[in-house]
Amino acid sequence: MTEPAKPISTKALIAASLPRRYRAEQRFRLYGRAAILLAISALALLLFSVGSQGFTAFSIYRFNLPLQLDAKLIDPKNTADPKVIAKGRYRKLIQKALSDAFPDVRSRSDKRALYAFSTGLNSVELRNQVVKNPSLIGTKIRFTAPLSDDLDLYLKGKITPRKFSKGDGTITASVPGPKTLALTGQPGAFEALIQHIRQKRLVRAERLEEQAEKLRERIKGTSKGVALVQHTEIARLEAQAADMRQKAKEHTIHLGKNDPSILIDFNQGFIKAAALSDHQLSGSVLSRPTDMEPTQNWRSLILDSPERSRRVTDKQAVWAEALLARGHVKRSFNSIFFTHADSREPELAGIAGAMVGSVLTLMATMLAAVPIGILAAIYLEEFAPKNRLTDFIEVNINNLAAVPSIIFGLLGLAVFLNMFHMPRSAPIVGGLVLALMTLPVIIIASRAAIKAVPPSIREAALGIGASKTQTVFDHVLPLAAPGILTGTIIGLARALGETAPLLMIGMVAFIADIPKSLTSPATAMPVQIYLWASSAERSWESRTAAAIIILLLLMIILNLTAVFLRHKFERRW
Amino acid sequence: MDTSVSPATQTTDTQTAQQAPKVQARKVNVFYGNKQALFDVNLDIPDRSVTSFIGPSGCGKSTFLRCINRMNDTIDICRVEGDILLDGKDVYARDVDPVILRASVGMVFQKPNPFPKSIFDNVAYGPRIHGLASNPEELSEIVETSLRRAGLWTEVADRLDEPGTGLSGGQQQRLVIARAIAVRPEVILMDEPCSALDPIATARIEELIDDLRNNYCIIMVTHSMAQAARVSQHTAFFHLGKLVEAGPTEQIFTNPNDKRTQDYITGRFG
Repeated sequence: MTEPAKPISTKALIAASLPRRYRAEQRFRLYGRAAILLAISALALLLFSVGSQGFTAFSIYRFNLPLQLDAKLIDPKNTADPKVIAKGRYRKLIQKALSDAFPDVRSRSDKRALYAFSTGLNSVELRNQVVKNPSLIGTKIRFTAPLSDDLDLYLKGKITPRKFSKGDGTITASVPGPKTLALTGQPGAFEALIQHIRQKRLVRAERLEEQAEKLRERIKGTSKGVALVQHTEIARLEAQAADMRQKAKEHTIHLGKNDPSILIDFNQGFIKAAALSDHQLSGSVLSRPTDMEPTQNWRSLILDSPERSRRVTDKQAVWAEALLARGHVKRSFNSIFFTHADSREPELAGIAGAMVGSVLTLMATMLAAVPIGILAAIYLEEFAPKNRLTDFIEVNINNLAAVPSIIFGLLGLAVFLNMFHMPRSAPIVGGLVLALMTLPVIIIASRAAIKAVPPSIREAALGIGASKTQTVFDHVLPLAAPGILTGTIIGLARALGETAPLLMIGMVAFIADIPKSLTSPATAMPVQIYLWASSAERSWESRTAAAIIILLLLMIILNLTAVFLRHKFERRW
Repeated sequence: MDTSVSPATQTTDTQTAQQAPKVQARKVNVFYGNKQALFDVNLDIPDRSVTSFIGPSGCGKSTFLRCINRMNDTIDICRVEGDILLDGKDVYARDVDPVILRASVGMVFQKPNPFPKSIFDNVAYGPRIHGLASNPEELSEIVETSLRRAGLWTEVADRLDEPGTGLSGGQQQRLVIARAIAVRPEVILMDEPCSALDPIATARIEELIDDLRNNYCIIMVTHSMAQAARVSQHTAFFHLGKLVEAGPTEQIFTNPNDKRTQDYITGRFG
């Protein structure tokens, strides 16, 4: 070591290094803030996407129709026997109520489309009402039931946006043939609609050209045989695109099967446009106008997605609009979602069954895991000798906490179901499996909490002659309680959100009843979410998101309880 | 202490040192794992007086103190050889239960360690677990007597249900002493009871110790030479795990037999 030529004072050395130290500190703070920002934005994104999707499931469109409880269809021989009443043709009654609302719907296919407004399961609800109160037979009641999920989605604008626009000027109608109608307005009355169609056609042409271009790129360097096939495909696409562009220029637009639907609301009836020019429009009558007088109060409804590519036909859309206008369909709070168990029909499915299942499962988990976990932690921390065996046990408990949860499910399947023949899909089995999974978490948290109790407390108790057990239960445990409680609740919150082990023991089944006991078949909330998420129909999407919101809320409540209890019972020494 | 009046205390000997000792140590060796902490300690500790252990840090005086009520049992790697006799009976004998032993040998620690409970419960805990009181009135009486003896009654009489941890350091230490007294011990061990306290609180504790000496055998570890001289009648000097010298405090401080004792007392090392 060589001495520096000129001794530098300590202060100067420190001063020289100060800017670097402060820079390091500022950098660190910046990283910290960036990390927190990232975490918060990820959370916000999750909440926003789930919230915006799930929000729509909390309301539902219900139809409310006068319904004649015709004795001929319920109890034709007037037996008043509940068994006979229970076998009445209630589905037919609901269908009659629907056709009464639209007397001009006559053809079989149209009637079938109309009956799709109410699911078959609604008849069960009606039957229950009548069985409970047989005096209703022969009277006229108002029957309320949720609208079929597709129409519910249509009215919520989730199938295709319902673009209404107020019409310009007076239009007059003429009837060129049966079921067709021609409308004439002032010059430019339909200009906006025509522009909309032209725009759509151009966009479609561009898309076809893009497809052709992509295909052209792809066949470069492929064998001639393949290229030949592709060339015809490219030629077809380009011809279609050219046709589209040509059609976009037409003076009179003829609407094809790939075009949006244009529906004109004229005197409480709807006309579907087939051809339209600047001030003339002709099309088919979907629902009959009340009269043919010229009117200023007309509207146009554009449904952008073509009729053949959506689950709601133009006719159904028009009926739904009519029911809405008459006040026979109303949007209200979706109480079904909170009071029903799972169902095949989205509009009748609820989260209540899964919630009760989760509560029962969690109860079983708590009863099994909490006492065992806490007592094991006390024994290991306070009584067990410190030797190789206890070290080995400790390592294994820590390992168990990191074992993938599906392994516990397999264990439950092998032991509880196959060896002990416990019931399938039962909350008690799910609870025990989750208890096995939660045990290590509770043991580790409790041991940490017990370890954190200062030894002086133990010495004080032992010093006045308390036995080991008295010391632990009178002094150590009360001081460790907040920590134990926190760990336990966090472990239980994890169990609440667990799916994989429950799949293995059959809690993934379709269960249409709210479970009543620890042994009745049940499912749990995360499993319900999993089930719905893998269902095909669009309506399940929002219900899945809504179920996620409720699960998240439960989690937040549990975690807040943990924080609250910790603050309440925390004692200083 | 009422039941164990030995014949020696009834003799008219003026020299307390010649009375039958309350605590006797015979060839005590203590090991922590492979490390030996005490070497062949032989010591007699008389009743109804204050004996202080002095010596540099790590000399084994606290270890020896903790052997007397078997607090070392809680340390897994600690091993004690030799005999420690309380009233002539080996405390490490098979038939001695540490719970009974600790009820009769109370202990006060360096840092005040009241339970995070009310003042009343702090003192009442011992009598409660040992069943010393048959009804609540009796229990309150024990609590009151103990607090009076510890000189804390007048300060806390009107707030017995407040937490013991809310008291000042000196009050906490007196509360802990009251808690020890409440189970009617014969011996009170004090491990540097004043080292965490300010001089005024220290003075109060010292006064208290002086009062308690009439009824108990008090054994105290201290780092303060002055405190040992002020409070104790007997002093034992430990050095490197060995008992160097023990005797009446006056003699140890004025005319020690061993050079090391003299060096320590006069501040040449430690």
